[in-house]
Amino acid sequence: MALGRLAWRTPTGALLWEIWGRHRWSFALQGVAFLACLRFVRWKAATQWEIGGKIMSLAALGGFVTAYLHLLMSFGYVEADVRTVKVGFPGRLFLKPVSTSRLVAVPMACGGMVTLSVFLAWAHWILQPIGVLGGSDLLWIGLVQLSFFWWLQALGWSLPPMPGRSLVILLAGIAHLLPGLMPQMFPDLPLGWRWLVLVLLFFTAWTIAGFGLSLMRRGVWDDPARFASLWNLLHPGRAHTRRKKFRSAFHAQLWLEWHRQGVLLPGMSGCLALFVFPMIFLIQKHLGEAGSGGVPEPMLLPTVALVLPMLLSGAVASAMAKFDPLQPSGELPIYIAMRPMTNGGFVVVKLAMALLASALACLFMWGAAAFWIAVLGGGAAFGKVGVATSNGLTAFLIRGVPLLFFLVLFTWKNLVAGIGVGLTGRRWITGLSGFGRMAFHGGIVVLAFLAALDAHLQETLLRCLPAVLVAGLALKIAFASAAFFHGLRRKAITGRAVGWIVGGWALAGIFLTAYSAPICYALGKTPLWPQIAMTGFLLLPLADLAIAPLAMTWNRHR
Amino acid sequence: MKIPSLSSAEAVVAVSGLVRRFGEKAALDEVSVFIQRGSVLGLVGENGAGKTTLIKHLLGMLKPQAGTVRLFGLDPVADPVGVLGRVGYLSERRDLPGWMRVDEFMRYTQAFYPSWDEGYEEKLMEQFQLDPGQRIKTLSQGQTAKAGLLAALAYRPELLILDEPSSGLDPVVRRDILEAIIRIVAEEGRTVLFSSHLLDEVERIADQVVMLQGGRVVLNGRTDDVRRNHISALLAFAEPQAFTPVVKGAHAVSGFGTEWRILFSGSQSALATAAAGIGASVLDERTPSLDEILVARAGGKGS
Repeated sequence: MALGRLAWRTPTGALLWEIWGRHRWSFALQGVAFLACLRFVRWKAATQWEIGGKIMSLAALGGFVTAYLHLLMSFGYVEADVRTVKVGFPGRLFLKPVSTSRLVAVPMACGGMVTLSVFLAWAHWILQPIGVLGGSDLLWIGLVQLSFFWWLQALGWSLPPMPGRSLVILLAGIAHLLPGLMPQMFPDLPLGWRWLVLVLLFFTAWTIAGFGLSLMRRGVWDDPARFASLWNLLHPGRAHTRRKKFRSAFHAQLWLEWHRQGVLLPGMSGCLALFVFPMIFLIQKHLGEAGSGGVPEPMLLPTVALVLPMLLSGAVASAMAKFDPLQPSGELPIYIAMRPMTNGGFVVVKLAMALLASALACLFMWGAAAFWIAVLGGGAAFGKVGVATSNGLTAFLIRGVPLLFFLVLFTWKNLVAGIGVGLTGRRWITGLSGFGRMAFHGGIVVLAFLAALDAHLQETLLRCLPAVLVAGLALKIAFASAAFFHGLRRKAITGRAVGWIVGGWALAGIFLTAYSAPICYALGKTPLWPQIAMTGFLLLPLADLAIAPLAMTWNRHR
Repeated sequence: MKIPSLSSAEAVVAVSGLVRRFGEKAALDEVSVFIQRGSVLGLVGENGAGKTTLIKHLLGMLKPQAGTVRLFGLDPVADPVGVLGRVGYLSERRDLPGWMRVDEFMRYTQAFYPSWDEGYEEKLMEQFQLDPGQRIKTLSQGQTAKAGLLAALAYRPELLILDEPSSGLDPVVRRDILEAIIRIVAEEGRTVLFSSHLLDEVERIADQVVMLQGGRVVLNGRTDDVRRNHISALLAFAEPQAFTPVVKGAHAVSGFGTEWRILFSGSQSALATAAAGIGASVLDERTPSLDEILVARAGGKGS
């Protein structure tokens, strides 16, 4: 025991203990998730039931992605400083009597070792059995993953605050797809060359981390004033130009929200669009899956463009209710809380910002998809996309307009779905709500799963579905009405804002109802149309928006 | 000693019976404060006495658990727009958006206040030597305080609330900030509430002082009256005193042997009576500074 305790009393031990101390419970959870997924895999191997197997595979894959992302965050050693708006290596460690090389080596070596081991364990025992990595060379992928991790650390620590910093890190991460796929893309390349590429990647990452951190520790690199001066020198007119006045308080707040939260989704979508689409082309071309003339599958890019903003909006939604993404609690910053604006006004600005962000993200995605189809695939790809629909390119484009509306609407819905809960600024409420949502959605999955197994249950559920939907809709409207009434009584929201929210919800619901009609008809599922329309109304946020001004009031006046 | 409250008539700020508890701890206990138009109130007290909590109630960031808070006759929780549009505030935490440039922050703030005076803003910008193109996160602590004060002053608020405006600042910046406040008071007759640990500042510019201790108001009155109602006296005893003498009406007693200094609240005749009652005579007496009064009342028992 004494020896074990003494081991922590070395500088390296203390650095490692910090990681362990902070994340030990989540590491334990990771272990539990791993064992649970292992159980899924065994169950999948034993069952003959195809759909159940697929669901288990998806659950296992989700477990891996969550566990891996958590490891990246735990060992990444990147912290945010709310005051200086700086994200990077924890500055407090620079004050410790530890050499810079040790500050670099401990998190990189230890983090690298752990992520590699965890990756290999998941890959060998879970991902390969469920058919995700197929017959790939696991050691090679694992080592590329190691390089990916080290590059994220190196750039996350060493790049100074500058415009486009996140983009550089993101691109460096995505670029690792190329070495990862080298064995498939360049099967004739001698093995020695591949290893040389990997060694070079390792060496460069460590050099950047060491050099960057030593400059930062000496205050040479991480001096925002120097970069501000350099920026001003490059943009002399811009840096000192006084911004024009805002037209109103609404515009000023929208500008602030846009800079803190709104830019996140279109920025991420834009960056991914720039890089993901050419990667898809390149990979398809080299893997020989592109079809004739090296042109990729026609519907792949539009599908990616359709799905990506919706997925990303789910990922960034939790930040939407905050007023500063770096602030750990959801409490309002004083400089915002004391502005003479109604609580409902702050909420309306957030909703508008989310709509703007959704529209731009979708437009970026679709624009990028069209651009890359045109540039990389030439006219042939457009032709193929047009042929993919029964009535050619024009019909495809005409159908694309409502589809774009649909995409924007659902991206916006994902962004604002938790806004009422998030605006309370209470962590216990957001945690509880997250757990509740997870339980609710998990329950639906389990029910669907059981229904797929049991024909009788399936039939009963389908029979009850209209009643369940009507009850859900009635409950939603009743809850929202109560919240609106309460908000109006407490002057947290104006009658006009209530009108806008209810009117918007009704219009969006009508759009979904109309949009789903021809689809149901085309699929031969016309009897299901009323249920689908009601589901649309249920999915669109109303209660969340109704409680948002009250939540804001509760947060602002504690 | 409890100095009676000022009248609530014409009060810009009227706090009455305000109670706030955080768990078991009473942060504010039956606090009543009134500030009349055009006066400068200094809010003093130890750390944790409840000064910032009281200020947060005035801004509507905290909701009273009991009692009422009114600014300009309005409830800051029920009508934040009506109240906050007339209040300028500088936070102790200097909670400004570090990512904005100074001029962006001014433009952002301006949008909320129709009465924003651009000429005045220019003047203060020059006076405070702020670079409009600089990002707030790169400003020094003193510059950040000046930027915050500029944003609080440029729309000429009717009430200026400053929470520890000179905390952590060097003497030059402190002087600049105090001068700006004094000018506002002298030239425009605005109402100011400021909390501070630096009692010489309070003494210099406040015409009313409120002292909080453990969430309760222990002193409330005009600065001169508060000082005049206290006496720092040197008592002489015929025989050396082995234990600290107990003097009725004294907030602090210190010394040894035959000479003991006390801080007494009450009149000179009451002091003479109290001294005679314990067999001592008054050797010397003077009007104490606010600093001495705060230390005596907060620290208490003497040594």
